[in-house]
Amino acid sequence: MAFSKTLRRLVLAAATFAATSPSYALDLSGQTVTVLVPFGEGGGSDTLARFLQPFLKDALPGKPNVVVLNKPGGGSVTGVNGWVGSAKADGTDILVGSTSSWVPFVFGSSTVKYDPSAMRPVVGFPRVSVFYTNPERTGVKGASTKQGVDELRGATLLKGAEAPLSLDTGDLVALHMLDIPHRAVFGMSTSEQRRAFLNGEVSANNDSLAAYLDITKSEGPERVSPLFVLGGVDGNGKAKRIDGLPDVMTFEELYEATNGQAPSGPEYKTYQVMHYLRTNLAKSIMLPPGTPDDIVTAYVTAFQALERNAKYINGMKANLEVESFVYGQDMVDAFAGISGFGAEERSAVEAYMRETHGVALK
Amino acid sequence: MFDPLVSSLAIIANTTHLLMLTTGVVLGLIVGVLPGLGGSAGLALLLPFIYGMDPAPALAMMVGLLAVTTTSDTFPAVLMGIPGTAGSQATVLDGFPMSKRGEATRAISAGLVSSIFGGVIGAIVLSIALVFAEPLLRRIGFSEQLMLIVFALSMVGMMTGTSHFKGLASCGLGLMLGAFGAAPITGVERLGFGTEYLIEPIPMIIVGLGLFAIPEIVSLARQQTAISESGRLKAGWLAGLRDWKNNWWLSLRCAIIGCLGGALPGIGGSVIDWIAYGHAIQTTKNPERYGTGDVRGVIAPESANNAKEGGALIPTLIFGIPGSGNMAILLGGFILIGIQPGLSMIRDNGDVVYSVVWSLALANILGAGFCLLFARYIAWLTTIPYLLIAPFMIGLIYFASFQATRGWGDLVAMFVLGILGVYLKRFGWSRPALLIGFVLAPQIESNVYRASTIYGWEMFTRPIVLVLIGLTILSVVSVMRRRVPESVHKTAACTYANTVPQKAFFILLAGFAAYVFTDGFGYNFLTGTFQVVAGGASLVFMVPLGIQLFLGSRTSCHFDEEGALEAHGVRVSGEHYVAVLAFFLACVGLFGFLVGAGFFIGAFLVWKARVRVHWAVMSGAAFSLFLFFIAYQLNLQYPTGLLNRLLPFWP
Repeated sequence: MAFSKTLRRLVLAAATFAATSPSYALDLSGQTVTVLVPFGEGGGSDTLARFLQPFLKDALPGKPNVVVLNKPGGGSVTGVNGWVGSAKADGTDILVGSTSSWVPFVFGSSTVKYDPSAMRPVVGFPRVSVFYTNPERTGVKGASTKQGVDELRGATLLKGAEAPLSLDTGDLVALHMLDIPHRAVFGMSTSEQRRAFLNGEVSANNDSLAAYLDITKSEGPERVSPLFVLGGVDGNGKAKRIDGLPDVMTFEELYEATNGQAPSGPEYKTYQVMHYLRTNLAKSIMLPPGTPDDIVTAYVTAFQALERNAKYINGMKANLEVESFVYGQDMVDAFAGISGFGAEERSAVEAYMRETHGVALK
Repeated sequence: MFDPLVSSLAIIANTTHLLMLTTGVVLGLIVGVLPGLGGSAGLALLLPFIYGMDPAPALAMMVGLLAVTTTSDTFPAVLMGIPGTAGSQATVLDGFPMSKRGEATRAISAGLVSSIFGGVIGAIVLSIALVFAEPLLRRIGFSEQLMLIVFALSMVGMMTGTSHFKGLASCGLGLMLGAFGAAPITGVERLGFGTEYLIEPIPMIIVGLGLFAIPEIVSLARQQTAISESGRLKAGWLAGLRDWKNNWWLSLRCAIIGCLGGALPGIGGSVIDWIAYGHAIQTTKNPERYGTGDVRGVIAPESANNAKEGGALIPTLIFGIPGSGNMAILLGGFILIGIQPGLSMIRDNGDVVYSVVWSLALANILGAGFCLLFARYIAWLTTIPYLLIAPFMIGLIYFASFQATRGWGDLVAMFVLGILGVYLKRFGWSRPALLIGFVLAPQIESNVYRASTIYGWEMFTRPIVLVLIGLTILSVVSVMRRRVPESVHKTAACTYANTVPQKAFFILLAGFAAYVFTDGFGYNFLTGTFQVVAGGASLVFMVPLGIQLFLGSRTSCHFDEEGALEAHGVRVSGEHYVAVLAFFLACVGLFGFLVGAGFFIGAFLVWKARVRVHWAVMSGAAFSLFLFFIAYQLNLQYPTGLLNRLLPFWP
């Protein structure tokens, strides 16, 4: 009697389970998803993670508890190293990927113990940026033309850069390819570069579209003139313009307009890799290497479903400056794009740094 | 033009707003009082709830939180000698000796009143600066920043202690410690010894705690008294208020220093309290009394560190460029509530901007008010036998250091710098001078390079630069005039017969400087130069110091605290407590941080303080529970130990 009762309950439970189990292979109910931010509190990645936290909680199958874990140190390398080593491939550990983590990988830093192309990207949040100059310092307005470049060749641009081997290397190489005389001040963070441009201490800067629009609004066209845009790279490896600034050329178009042929060679390859890093790979959500396809799919589905949530879209686009949402093959392509920085590119950058800036990279 | 100042008053004067502000203030007080946690950890907690909120109450909550962390951090600084945030390091210097005299209440009430005053001055300056400061801020370029740093560095002269060479060499030591980690100009890894931990500079919080908190814990534990040496607590609530009233002019000057330091780029928030402290020594009577428990040494930094937040808000609101680490995360909050800081916001959303000003002022008053309510009760801690408190303090300090990068590396760095701090204290090296050197090192390096690359000699033709040079000369002259002459004191510490330990320590430091100096030549110019200069400068001061130390007998540089301690009949050696600190690491290595810290506390209480086992076990468990609670709230993952690896269920 007692036995059959137990049996009946078991059968009932099994039937209920079968009927209610979700169509995803992934069920995170009762679990905790840890979002790793490889930086301390504050800053872009942390803000993004904390913004996503409540949305993810509702969007993921099983409505898991979602927590943000900050692991600062080593300019984000420490956090990502640790994450790759310890993250479980069951969908409970995700990473906020950002440019800062991929740049040291591209430059072959010995401390990096991860390969981003082995990770499983879920969604990318590309940003776009604008390279602009200060006409008050250069005497050149409307620089994004062949004539503008010709005139700029008579001036010397002063630009801040984080380090000789950094994201900003791409901008410097671009100026070099355009034959625009320039000097670099190394060791400046993004916000220090912005401030120095505002103060008129440097005459060129590369910043996000939102920051560019803001600075144009407050300073006026007399002090801000766009040279070229970095609107991201499409699936064919072609640089895109920015919809909001249709008249400003990409670096590739500007180069072709001035030199009559498309850019090529290891220096251009360097620029292109930095372009991927700065735009397509600005921010992303990653699952650890070895995560099964069905879990990746469940995550992608959850993020795609979020796009129907107006509150999420508004926050991402208006507040967090996210241009678009990129999934699947496009993300894989972007990571493939940064593999282009090899030995030839490195020695080209070393030669350029030595000859133009007198900096030895050893 | 101040219309919004009035209309914004309507925004904040409603229940929701005040409720949010109070919530922020209470949270801020809590994270401020816990060593290692600052405003950014607290703000990060709020961020997920901010999106979608009305801007004004959200701002009130965030500003309320940020405004008061430097109010409540006065408690650990004064009562325990532990700087709770970087802003209260200078407070320790005089606040803690006051506690030792049984004057904790007086020190705290003077500090809190200074905090209120500084905070309100900060809000007033902010409200004016939002209208007028923009053109001035634009003139602060790299050459001006460099001169500001040189000016800040001149304060070292006020903090050298009795031996000037030793003080300057201490500063050199700080510069060398500041050279660790990737070079700020080239990003090349430098003095990293192949470790991942030293890709970034040594965290400020760890240097501060290692130099100031650990040596105090060790020396108090050795003396086995309560913090208040008499074991009693003098009433001093009103005395503190009177102290502030008598020094209101000093407090005002320091508040202005705080505002300026927060608003101007270059120096960074963490030396502002030291500049205020140095300024107090330079401009008041009886400079020799600072460091021995002079209340002015509490008023000066406490006035400055609360005013700093108002100052740091100026560039944050005007340019959208963060004035400090706290401001960086506040900007994140701004983004989430859809506010784009900048000149256009000040023009178009004046109400919202000025509601920040009001919130700031109100939060400072509220925060200090809450603290005053509790001050009397918390101050009793100083009358408890120290051996009962010490293990908790050690646990808290390791917890604080762990906040830096949330890993094992922090605990090890804390231990190493703690040992350094213990011997620096013992042999009379100036820890404030070291700290100033450490904090300014990266700034000096970057700004010398930037100013010379951009301006060359032209930098000396800029008007603000000239003003700053003038100020620096004034400061140096006042250092020269006011410094206490090097005289040989006949104290037990100076006449201690066994000079071998201090000579050995000197040789160790000189060897370190020589290593840093020569190692620098192995890098390219932009990477290695700073290291060469820092090591070289240290050697320049160390050579005459060494000559004095080895050849002279009974000169002003001879100092060994052991002499004084032996006279007091202290038996337990400093090395014994260094071993105790190592034992803590061993516990963590075995049990993981959560359980290990509790185990350490229990063991310490039984063996050292002779507490009954069941009480000791309960105390240890309570601490672990407390750690668990914080980890749960802030989502921290503590360093794991051997047992965590072997047993998957181990907490």
